[in-house]
Amino acid sequence: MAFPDVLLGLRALFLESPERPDREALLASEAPGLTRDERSALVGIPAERLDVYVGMLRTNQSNMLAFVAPSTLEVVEKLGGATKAEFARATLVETPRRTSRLRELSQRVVDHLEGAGRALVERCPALLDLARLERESLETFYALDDEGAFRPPEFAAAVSAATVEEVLALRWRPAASLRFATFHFDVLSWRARRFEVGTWSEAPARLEASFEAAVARDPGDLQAAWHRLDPTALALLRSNPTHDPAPLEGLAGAWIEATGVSPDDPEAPARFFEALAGWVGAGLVAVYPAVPLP
Amino acid sequence: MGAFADRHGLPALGAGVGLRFEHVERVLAEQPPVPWFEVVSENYMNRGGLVRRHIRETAERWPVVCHGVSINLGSTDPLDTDYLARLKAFVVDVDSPWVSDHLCFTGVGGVAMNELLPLPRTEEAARHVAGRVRRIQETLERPFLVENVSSYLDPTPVGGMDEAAFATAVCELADCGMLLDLNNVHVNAVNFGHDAWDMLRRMPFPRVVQLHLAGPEAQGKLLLDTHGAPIQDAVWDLTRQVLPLLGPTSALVEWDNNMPPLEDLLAERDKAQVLLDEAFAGVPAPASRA
Repeated sequence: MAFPDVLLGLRALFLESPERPDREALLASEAPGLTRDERSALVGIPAERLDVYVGMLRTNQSNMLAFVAPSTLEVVEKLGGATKAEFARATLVETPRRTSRLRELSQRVVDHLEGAGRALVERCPALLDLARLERESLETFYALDDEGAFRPPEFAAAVSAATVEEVLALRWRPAASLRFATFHFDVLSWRARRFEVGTWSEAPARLEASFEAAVARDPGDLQAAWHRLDPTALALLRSNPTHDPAPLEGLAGAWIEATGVSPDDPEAPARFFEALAGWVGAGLVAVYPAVPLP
Repeated sequence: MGAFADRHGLPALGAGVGLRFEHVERVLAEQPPVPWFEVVSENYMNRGGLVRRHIRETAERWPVVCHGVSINLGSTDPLDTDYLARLKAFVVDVDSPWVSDHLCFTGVGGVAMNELLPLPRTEEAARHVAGRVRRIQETLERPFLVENVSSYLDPTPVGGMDEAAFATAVCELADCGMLLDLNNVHVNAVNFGHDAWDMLRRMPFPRVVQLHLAGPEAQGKLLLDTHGAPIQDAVWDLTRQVLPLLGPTSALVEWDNNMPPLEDLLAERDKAQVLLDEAFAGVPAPASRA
């Protein structure tokens, strides 16, 4: 018995048989260890029954792509020169995923556009940025929660009832859902316009200078929301790369240094807390209670 | 209750519903009188945000059972230990009394195909699957059920087993339970031209812990297990026939495509509950956690 080869043979039939109809040759190359009886069983499968699985796999892939990369899929068809079904087949066969995870599928879309599917990007250069946008959005949507962190109203309450020193003793780290992406095309505006008017406009031109944006899970509706932040804010959000909650005092110091605000300015704490409240409200940072004194 | 369920102290939960995203907000808001929910494990494990909130609130109110679609029981690839670790954490998190997945393969050779693909029903395959089920059961530290699947072709070479013999062999070798999908029995009977009851009556009843009920759709001469239509009369008939042979058990209505309004789904559930009640009059209804 060559049980592994039976499975490999079925895989080849399900994935490739429409494009490689010589079933004997396909099995000989993809499942060379089949016994005569096993090969006979696979060769004897009625074509219409095999087609059921071929169709199911491709439909399922198309549905999953529509879930993880809906905008990319639309643009592939509108501007990339391939139908959704062709793209589903291509990603399934040419850039398959190793696991069932949707997050991996989202990454495979990017991989495909960078590899076997690069002709699509040559026809629509903004497509790759769009796929990256959707990959990061998906990662953000599914990211683990910041267990134990203040929700925005809790944070507001904690700050309003505390001294400056007590607030600075609170701890922070970037939200678990926070991701960054660099874009060479303004796909954020392009996609927003698509949602507004219901159709894709002409693809944006390459920017003279790329820009970086952040995406985090909105604490209200728990959807991924993109933010165009100035470089100072982006750097501050990255200033705790260990992901262990650190006292806000350090972030405050970095903020003063980055913004040039005088530490002696009596308005400085209020301005810092205002910026911080904005980040908390947008889900960009997670703030935790201070570590209790022993 | 079947012997496997008795041995593991597994409850008969009554008639539940597969919880899907389309209905979860209404379910949480309206709290319909459903005794339990089954969820697709992969839709929730290792996730935060909205899906985490949904499952946390569901598990606070109802028993939740974890049902997977990609543990890849039949594959010859190594078991995905990362997947199992995440699944175990989720199972513990929602306190699922048992865990189930399908008697099939979903990928091989490092390629995930995300479909329930048919295995050759041979002794070698049964031993292989059973060995993996044993390791899964040890890892998860929960009773594990294998589910019979619908299929549209048969890759079994001459001398292989039929569905019932294969399911029985795997369950016995693995010492696991069975999730008996009556729609899949019906679909395969139609697709392969055999008698559904003749196949069903030879399934390993003492190991059955749970039933699945769903509706298929026709594609040419075949029935496809789409979970996209009402449960067919033939499946209700099989349910009536088999329940007295199983003893009090848990039944679950699945609906995944052409999703109906929640009311229609609950009406299907109510029918299943009536059959359970008729078959097991006098058995107290399970309490919800609310």
